[in-house]
Amino acid sequence: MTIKLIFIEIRLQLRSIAFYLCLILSIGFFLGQVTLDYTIPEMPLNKVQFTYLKLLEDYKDGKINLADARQPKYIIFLNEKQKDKILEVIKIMNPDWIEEFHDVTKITFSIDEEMFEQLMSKLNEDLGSNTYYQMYMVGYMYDSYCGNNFAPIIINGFDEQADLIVARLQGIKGIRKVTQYSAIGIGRTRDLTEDEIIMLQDTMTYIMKLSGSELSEDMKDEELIQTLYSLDKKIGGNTEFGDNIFNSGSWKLRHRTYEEAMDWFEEIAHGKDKITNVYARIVADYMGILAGILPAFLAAFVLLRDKKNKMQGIIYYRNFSSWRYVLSKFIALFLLMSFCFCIIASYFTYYYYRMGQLYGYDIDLFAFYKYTALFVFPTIMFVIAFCIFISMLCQNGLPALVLQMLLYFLSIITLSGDYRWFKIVIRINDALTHAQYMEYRNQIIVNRCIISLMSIIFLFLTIKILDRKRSALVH
Amino acid sequence: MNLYKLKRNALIIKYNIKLCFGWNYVLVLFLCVVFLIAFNVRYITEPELIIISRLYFGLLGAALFTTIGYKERSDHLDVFLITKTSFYKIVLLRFIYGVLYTAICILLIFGFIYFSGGQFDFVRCVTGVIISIVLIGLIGMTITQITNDDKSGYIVSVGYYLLEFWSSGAYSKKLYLYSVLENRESALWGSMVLFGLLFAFCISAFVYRNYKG
Repeated sequence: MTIKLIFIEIRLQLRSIAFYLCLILSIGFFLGQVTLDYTIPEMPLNKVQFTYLKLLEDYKDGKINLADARQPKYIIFLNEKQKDKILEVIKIMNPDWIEEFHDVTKITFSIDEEMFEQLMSKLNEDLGSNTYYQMYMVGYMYDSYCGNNFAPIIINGFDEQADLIVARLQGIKGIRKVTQYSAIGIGRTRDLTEDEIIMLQDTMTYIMKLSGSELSEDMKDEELIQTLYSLDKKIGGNTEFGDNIFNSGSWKLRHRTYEEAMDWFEEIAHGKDKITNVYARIVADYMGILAGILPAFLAAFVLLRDKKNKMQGIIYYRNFSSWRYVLSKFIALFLLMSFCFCIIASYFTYYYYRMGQLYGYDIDLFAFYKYTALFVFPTIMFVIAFCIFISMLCQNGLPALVLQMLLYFLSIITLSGDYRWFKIVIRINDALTHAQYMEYRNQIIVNRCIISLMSIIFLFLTIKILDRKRSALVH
Repeated sequence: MNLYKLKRNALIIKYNIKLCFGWNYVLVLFLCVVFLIAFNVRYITEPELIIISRLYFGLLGAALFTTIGYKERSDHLDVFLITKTSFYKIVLLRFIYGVLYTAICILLIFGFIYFSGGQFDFVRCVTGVIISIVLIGLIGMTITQITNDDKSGYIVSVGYYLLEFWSSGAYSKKLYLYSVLENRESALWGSMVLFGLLFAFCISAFVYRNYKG
């Protein structure tokens, strides 16, 4: 009987235009947000490779930027002589250069670091000076590339941490502004008063003294944290060195060096997790964004449809239990939505299977299904159960939608690292190595268990409410 | 005057007054209160206000306007659609009431923010937010009328709001939903044209349905 009800519900949903609109929205989201280029790791470039690529680009486009400038008027177009100078440098760096571009990571450059610096200085002079081939600009641009492309790393050691914190406080003191964050992470910037600037300076001095002291690492860490919390309170609270945000980890991060980035790349592409597990987590993140909202539109109105079609009288008098009725609708919706997400997982599995054959990556064929089941299925369960419960309580689908949207926005704001019990969507927006993922794994599992349990509780409450309504109607 | 007509009109008026205190309006009020509690709006600057307005207020449109032409069907009062009652006039009145209700809520919220030390262009921000709320609601209302399904209206209106929020006008360009709020060039005429087109389309749908009925 329950299975029959499930199939009836699935058939009804497949006939409803709302279901197909949800599908179109999902496809549009994936086409617009999830670009497949992002899902293959790029081998990190060292400074010479990065600059070589820049030279090729400038030679091909026939223009370069002047240093420190981003406005278009500071682009200069190269004449033939200047283009020849650039080509000369390209050929010195790579004697086997040919017109067609090839993979820069496979080129063996014929220069060392000292020669590279001399080449760049000479090129800068030949192009009229003040170009970004001055060495300090090459370093600056390469630093930006590292910051944008290499995943951040957690700092180890008090001295390195203290240096970073002092640099950050110096920056805040320099711009004379501080940002305060609301409970849901929206920041508001304001000017610092003179007294607050003096407090900042005193804190920096104290941290530098702490760095040189003879206390143990643990005691220094503890002292540093207390100093920053105290500064946060004196400045008005909710700043980035208060206990909410300081513990989120951004203070403990720096970008990787080239060697560390190469190790990271090897770990991602050929490590224990294999490339598929790493990117399955990212794709599951995108699926979670959809799973947190789309089922709500179907679930909020599923029990009210019978009321709208005036079927309540017939259904409520029939001789089957409320749990069959509610559970069949829940299971039908869950199966439908899960099936759609499994199709997405299958597509990505096939995509990585092809990439694996092309690039020689080891792949795990079940990775995408594994993370879909762990990250996405509990979200779907919760959303359906919660919306069914609220719509049964209020006899209207709109409150369920609105409350679900509020919960949804609370969950998706943080990009990764926050897996508290009320987060209905698991966000992992970075390519984490196996070791990095293991730090969060237990929190994620606990979160998923709590979310699944809450969905069962909401289902149980819905059944109880329905029982009461039926007995009131029958009597 | 015909007594029957009088009674019928009195019932219609009574029903519509009841709707004015329905879930849609209660939830909009609830969302406004939540907004003031959740966000720290004292001494807020304009860029910060624009960010949180874009994040938050689109939902109000979807909640308020999507089902204003669908109430009779969802409350099993389909008989209204086949009588000589001017259905589109009733919907138009509900729409005007909805816009006034939205305007009052937004004016109160932004007035509170302004007098709490907020630094922003009051007229432009209020206008921009009201336009975006009404536009999202009109889209939902139109889709509900076309598909005869309120779920579809909610899906499309919320989907459009999320698209504009995430893409910041990358796809809609001159017709960007928050162009008035963000003070973009040539945006006002685009928003008003879209507004007018959708509104005209919606009213046409009502008139057609009324005529067909």
